Amino acid sequence: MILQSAWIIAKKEIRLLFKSTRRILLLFTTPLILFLVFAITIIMAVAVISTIEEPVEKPIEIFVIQDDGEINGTSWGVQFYTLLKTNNLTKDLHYTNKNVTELDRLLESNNFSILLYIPANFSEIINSSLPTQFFIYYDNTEIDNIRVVNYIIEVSLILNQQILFHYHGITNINRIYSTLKRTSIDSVDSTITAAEGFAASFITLIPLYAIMLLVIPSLSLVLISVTIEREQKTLESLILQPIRRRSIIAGKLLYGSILVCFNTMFTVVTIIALIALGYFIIPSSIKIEIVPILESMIRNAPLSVWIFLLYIIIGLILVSLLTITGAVFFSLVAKDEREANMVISALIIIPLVLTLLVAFLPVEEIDSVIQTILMFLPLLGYLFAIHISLVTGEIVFSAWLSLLAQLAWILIGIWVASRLVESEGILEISYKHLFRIRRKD
Amino acid sequence: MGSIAITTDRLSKIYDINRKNEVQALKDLNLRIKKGEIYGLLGENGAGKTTTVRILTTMIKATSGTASIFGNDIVTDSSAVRKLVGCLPQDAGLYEEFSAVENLNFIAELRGLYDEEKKSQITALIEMVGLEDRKNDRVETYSGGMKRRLMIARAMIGEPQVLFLDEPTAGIDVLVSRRVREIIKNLAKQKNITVLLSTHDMISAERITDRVGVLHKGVLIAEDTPSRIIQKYARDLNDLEDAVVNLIGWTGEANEVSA
Repeated sequence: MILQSAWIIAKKEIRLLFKSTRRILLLFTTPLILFLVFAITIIMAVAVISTIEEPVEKPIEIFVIQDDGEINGTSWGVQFYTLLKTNNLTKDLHYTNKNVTELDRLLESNNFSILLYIPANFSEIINSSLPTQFFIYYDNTEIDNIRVVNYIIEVSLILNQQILFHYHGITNINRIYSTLKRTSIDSVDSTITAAEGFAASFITLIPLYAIMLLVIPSLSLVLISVTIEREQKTLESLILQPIRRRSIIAGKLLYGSILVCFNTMFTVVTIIALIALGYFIIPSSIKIEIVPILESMIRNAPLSVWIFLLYIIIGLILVSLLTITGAVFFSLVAKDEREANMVISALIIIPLVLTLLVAFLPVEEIDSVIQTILMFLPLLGYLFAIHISLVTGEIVFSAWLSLLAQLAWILIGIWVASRLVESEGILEISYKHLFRIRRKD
Repeated sequence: MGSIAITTDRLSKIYDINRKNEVQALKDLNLRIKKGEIYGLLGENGAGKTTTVRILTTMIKATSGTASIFGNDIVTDSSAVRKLVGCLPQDAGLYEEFSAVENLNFIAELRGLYDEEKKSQITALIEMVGLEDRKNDRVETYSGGMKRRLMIARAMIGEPQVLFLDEPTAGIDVLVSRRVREIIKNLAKQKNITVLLSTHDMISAERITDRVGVLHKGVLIAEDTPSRIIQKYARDLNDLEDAVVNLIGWTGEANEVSA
């Protein structure tokens, strides 16, 4: 019975929505914003790409200088070349042997992608299990250096060799450095953790913006739908009908949920359409680079990543419902749309500011009990739980409890709103009178 | 007529204005209104008319006493009561962006009407209140009188047996007021509907009600047919307004003396 009445009320709200230009615009705010942002980005990207001359694909020149010759049939140059070839299948690699007398000239000319220099007696010293050096000069914008570096480290550890790297061209030295130092220097670890923590802070904000984009327009529409009943004095005739009063709350919640679903669906469709559009616009040379990376990311993503995504989605659904419930409750108390708008502003600003604070909070300095309490807060708790999960690298048990807490807040919100609409002071209620009406009940 | 439609026994309501001050809006109200009767509830502002309507339509609860509509208790059988009654509240509004048909459609669905039954009732009610020509126009384009007529039609959706009308002629001109009076009178006579009319409009009360009750400070101080009330209490002018003014004046003086 309640569901039937709720559906009738939700249907009425949807019909009313399409009678007002302002409300239609609000409904399509998120897709419109996304469409504009994506459209501008694509236009700018296309404009920039069109001004860049298509680089002529040069073959990667690999010069190998083996000063030690070949001992026991071991050619270090060929071995490293094979390694580079394996890790750069899409690249066109040219392998050339050079004489040691050309080393200085080659280094001066800078006209190579990789220059591998195996010094004299290298193999002999290795065979004697003594330390020695080899040199790789390369441009890591052209070579998949991380895998090369990792391999060389493994080889060097076995051979007990000292590695010297020399770079030229545009290099991503920090990345290689961190990879190297992670194995040997402890001080770098703290830097990496801090950087990862900072990244986690930013990722924490993503669900907040998702909530803002997908839920806030719906929240505004629900606020309008409730306050309009008071402003147009239709609430009185509504509560006079032979329906349970709480079905009015159920109707508004249903309406809000439909709006969130519609908004999400429309936004997803818009994003897919824009990505598809972008795919056809982007030059094929860029596509060749991007598509394998994306495919590899999806294929190689561990189970924990998918669980984390599931956690985020469940959380977003719960938080959406919580926000809509909050909108129904706060607008029910508000005496008009102006007052309700003040509330919606607070609903947006307060969690935004608090999330910014929480996201950049040094987690390790917060007591675990306080962490758990923070995770139980409405909306903020969910965002904090994501932050903790990102920092610790796993979804902790209290983070799952945080989802249950969000559900509990929804049920509390529905119960309070139902009590409110059933109170006889509902027609005269305002924030000022809220507590007095509760006492009368 | 014959069976009792509305019964109240020692119905009282105390409002808690703030935590210290309490106001007795209604005190020991006893009413017996017969089926098909048009009963006028008269009195000055704050006399308790709207409170009575709100209690009887289950919007608010009485502090003490009981009331029933066709034997259904307004507290324990509130759902049954709401099915039996239609109400035009004092400050009621309409969905301004909807048309007359859409407004009635929504209420009809809430009252469990669908398909042909819904359509036929809406058509008949729109015809009854004379809004056929504008039935598909947005309500925001209607005049005050048209809105009031639509509200009466809305109150009649679901064919209620008791109709509560709280100031149905407030704020509308004499021509519309006359039209509204005719509608109310026809409803009672043709469909045998019981009407409780809470009003300041003495002309309406005098012309269409079968009986009137005069409330003063929450107390029913007189109850009879309009003609007898006029006969008993009118002084300078031989009309209901004069009678009610005198009645309230006397009671007021009596209260002041006794105080």
